[in-house]
Amino acid sequence: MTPRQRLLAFLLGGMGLAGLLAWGMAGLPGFGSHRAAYGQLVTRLSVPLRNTTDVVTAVNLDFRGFDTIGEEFILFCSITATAVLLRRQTREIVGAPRDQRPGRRSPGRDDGVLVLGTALGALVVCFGLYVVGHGQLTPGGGFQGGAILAGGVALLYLASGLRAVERAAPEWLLEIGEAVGAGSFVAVGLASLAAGAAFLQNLLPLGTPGTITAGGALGLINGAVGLEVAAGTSLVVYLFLVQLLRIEAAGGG
Amino acid sequence: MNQLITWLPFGVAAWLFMAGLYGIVTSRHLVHLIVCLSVVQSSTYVLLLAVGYRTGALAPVLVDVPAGTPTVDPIVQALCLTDVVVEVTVMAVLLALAVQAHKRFGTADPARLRPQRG
Repeated sequence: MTPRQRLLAFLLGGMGLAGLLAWGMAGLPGFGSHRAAYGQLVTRLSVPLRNTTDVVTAVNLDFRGFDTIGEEFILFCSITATAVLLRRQTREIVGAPRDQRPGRRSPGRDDGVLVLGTALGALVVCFGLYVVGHGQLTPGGGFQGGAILAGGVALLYLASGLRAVERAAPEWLLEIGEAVGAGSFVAVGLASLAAGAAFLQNLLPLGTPGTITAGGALGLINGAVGLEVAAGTSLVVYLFLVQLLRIEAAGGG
Repeated sequence: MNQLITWLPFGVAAWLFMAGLYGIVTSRHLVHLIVCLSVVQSSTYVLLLAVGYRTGALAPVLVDVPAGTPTVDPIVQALCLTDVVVEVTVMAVLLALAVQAHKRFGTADPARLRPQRG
């Protein structure tokens, strides 16, 4: 199929699809006039039932927590798939990081970049932990905070190179963190079962709304998700860095 | 004007979807193709948030908010979060595939990738 034929086929099909989209969207309630009963109900019940002021976290980790376990395992499987795809292939070797090899003409490490990057990395990690820990109070939680924490790993690489990343967050630690995070979410659910309640039922004391202990098991689940997302996303960053800097074809490079 | 506001967010979602799809169809580079796929998926964020919006309502964060204050729909926002997580991980897998395809074929142009057996 030539590019021109493909474009023609797309134009034909695209016009049909655009027509269907326009037709479907014309039937939606007008922008701003949305009144879905379930959303209003959850908003009204979030504080009385769970002492949780961030309704989005209450929905994700409690009211539809079982779905979020499924979502978390999508994350887990995708990261596993990425790790499998990026492993060393036959006829490839893992060498020293390309940016630190002897004889490579590099501009040398700049002190300003090192200091600023490290300081910023520490700040990012603190902020990530704060976002993970306060998910039940204000917008945030394990997914968001975990992604911020992985940003710390990327910053560490930018400031001090791959060796520093391997020292601070070695691959085995990230793998264990990811597995423990994913497993803990399920373990919280199983603990409720063992206590004679429904899977993932929130049995812990619900605390005071607006304090960090609010939401009962939500805090634990947030921590588990945060650990998994932080470790998993850092692992992806690390794997791509290794692919870029260390893996090369055997017998040449 | 009001008519336009009623229509615009859904129009933006549809436009993002079609623009991303056009990019995928005409793409000459795998990384470009994967970014176009993420543009297609971004349309779902716009659609979800637009569907859940309620005029004059607050964000669903009930800190210092009197009981009964209308908020926008928290369910679609939770779904949006799910959507973002899935997009990021799918992109990671696809980019890893693109890296290996480039190593094997020496090109990242989808039109020049040969079919593979086994």
